[in-house]
Amino acid sequence: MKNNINYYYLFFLIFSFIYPSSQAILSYELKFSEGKGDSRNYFENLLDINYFFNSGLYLFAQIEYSSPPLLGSETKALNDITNIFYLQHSSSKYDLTLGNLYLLYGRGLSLHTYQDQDIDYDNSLKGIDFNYHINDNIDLFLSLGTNEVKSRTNPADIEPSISIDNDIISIGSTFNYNNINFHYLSMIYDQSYAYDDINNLKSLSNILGDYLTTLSGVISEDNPGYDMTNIEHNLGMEFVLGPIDFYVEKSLVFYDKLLAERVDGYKNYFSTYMNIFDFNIIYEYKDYSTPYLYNIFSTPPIAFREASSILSSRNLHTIDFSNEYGYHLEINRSFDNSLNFLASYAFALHHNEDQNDPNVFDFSISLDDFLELSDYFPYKQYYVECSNWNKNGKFYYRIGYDYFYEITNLKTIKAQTVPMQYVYSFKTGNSLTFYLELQEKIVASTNTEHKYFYFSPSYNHFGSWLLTFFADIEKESDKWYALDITKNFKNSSQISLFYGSQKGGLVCANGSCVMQPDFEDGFKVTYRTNF
Amino acid sequence: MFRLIPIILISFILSENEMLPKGFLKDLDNNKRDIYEFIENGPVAISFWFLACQPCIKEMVYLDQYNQKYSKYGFKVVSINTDNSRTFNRVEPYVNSKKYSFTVLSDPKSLFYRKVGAPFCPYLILVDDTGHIVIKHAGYNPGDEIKLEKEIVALLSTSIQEDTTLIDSSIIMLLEQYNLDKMLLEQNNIEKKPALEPPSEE
Repeated sequence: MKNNINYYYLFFLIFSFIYPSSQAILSYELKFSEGKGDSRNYFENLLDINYFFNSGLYLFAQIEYSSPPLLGSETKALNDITNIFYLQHSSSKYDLTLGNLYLLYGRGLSLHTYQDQDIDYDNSLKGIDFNYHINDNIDLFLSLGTNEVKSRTNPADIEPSISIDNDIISIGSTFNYNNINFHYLSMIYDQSYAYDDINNLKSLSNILGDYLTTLSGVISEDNPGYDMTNIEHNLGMEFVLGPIDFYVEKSLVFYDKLLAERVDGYKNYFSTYMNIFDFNIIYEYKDYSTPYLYNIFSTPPIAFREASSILSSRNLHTIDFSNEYGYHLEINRSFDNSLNFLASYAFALHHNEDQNDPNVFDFSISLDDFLELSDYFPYKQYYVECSNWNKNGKFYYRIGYDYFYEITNLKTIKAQTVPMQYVYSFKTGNSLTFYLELQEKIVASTNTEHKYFYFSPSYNHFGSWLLTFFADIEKESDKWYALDITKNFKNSSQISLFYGSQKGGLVCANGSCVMQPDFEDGFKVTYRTNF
Repeated sequence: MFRLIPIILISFILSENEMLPKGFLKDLDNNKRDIYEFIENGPVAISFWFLACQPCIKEMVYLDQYNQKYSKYGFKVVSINTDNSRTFNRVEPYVNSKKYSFTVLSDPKSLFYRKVGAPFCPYLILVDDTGHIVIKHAGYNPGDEIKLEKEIVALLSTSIQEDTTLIDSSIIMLLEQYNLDKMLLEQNNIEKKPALEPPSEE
């Protein structure tokens, strides 16, 4: 069936180019690498096609020819190469989409479908989405679709290890009037787990993985798998009270514990924002509790700050959207002399089945207390940063301090990172940029201490080409050096040549992580253009 | 390695200008905005960004300056944020803290981002007042803003030349440079053209 659909897409695509259109926008990306040792060599071609018909119809298709890709399976055969395909028609009264559906309601507590090429993940539905605008304030929507979501239980896997079939119907409404926005969504979805999926889910390091491990005797190859029908009700509201903005969203989830009884769960999210004396303060609270459900459609707010530094991002908190509660506080302020200040604090715990939840708001938690919370897999991180452009706009600096502490059932990590960036811009349009980062990391589970140093100077020659050197060093251990030259052509075409070695690492997005392998002593080519 | 060459050559040959796709996006106050309403009075720079993108944040400082400096000639900057549900709630506080003068729209499903063929952030397109995309820039490195300002002045050259109150020396300099470049280009074109008739030998 899937193969027939892909042939149909391709046939339609070819037909589209024959049929008269007002215009087409195409963008193309090529990635190629050849390295030594355990490097993963890849050859990826990605073509995005936007086709605008005179009738107002819009078509988007993404074609991939990869042999092999960096992550995932080879896509060489004609019936495999269409990643995304959708047709859209919009008018003042409605929006209609057929094909791959990328949906988001509220903050995604119940339904958020997206594609992330970096982690080889796509949970979009194949089906129909209809959005009817009753008036300027009220919309009604209906989505029907099916998908087969492929995912990894082990981030180090190159190819997905589980594949779950879903059929879904969702219906709801949005309402906005002045400063009040409101949405309601109901969804019913059938999930089919094959024996292999259930068996592979045992390796998850969470309550679901532990629970399935206790059922090892029951799970056998003779077992035909397990089907369940889940129901979610999702309600969200945004409003303003004087100088304070509020956002509240709640989901009620009714689902089956795999191979067992019916249970219920919930997802709650709250955020508030205010400006006091030019200090912008945002506070977020999350509480997600569906511990026996393997989340497919839910991508709620993470409620912590994503690191933008190379070394800090190697200690990224792996959020569990099925089981986590905590909060995030962020304050930022820009001063008149263009000095920017940012401070952020995040704290989170996991619900523990047999014990009461500790108070997440206990600010007096000492390090010893934190260790005592290890059954709840605590995570805390704070970050402060100052950045400033000098008055004539020639010199820029950004200096931060990041403190990260996380206990998981696999390891306990404490890391302190100082990311720095300095830029000097010449008057004529060329510039020098230096990234300098220092990190001290203690892995308690192996009782080891690591010191890392990252240095990357780059020279931008009038926007025409860019030369960058990378040095990524672990004291008395690994050293990774590389050189990259990027040439910019007219209208955003760009070619980049990389030579050297690059340290791999965990890349996470929306609760899914993959381990990008190390790259040793080789070259990479990246070419991008749109036409 | 050699299999890369034909692909790169073909894509160069196919490069051409196109029209800005139609689309409706919500601003941070949740009002639905037609992207074409912004080109009614003049050219627009449309920039795509997200919170964790440091180059985007740096570029926005200059976009804010240019939005203020050239607004009297009908020029506008429209900034389109692509943060999705995970981090969306932090966008408005960030934008308010910076007091940007331009409009910020939201594209949490990245559908409009995909429509314009953006490869990665920051991605900036310059659109003239007829809706044609005239320039595209992917990525930002310090110094790129100087080239961008020249491109904005080139787009606004007619309006700026008509401005009898112009006293900003930086704009005057860029305009003179633009006029000089234009003159040199025209001269080059004339020299390259063959003579219409061969000179008579009489």
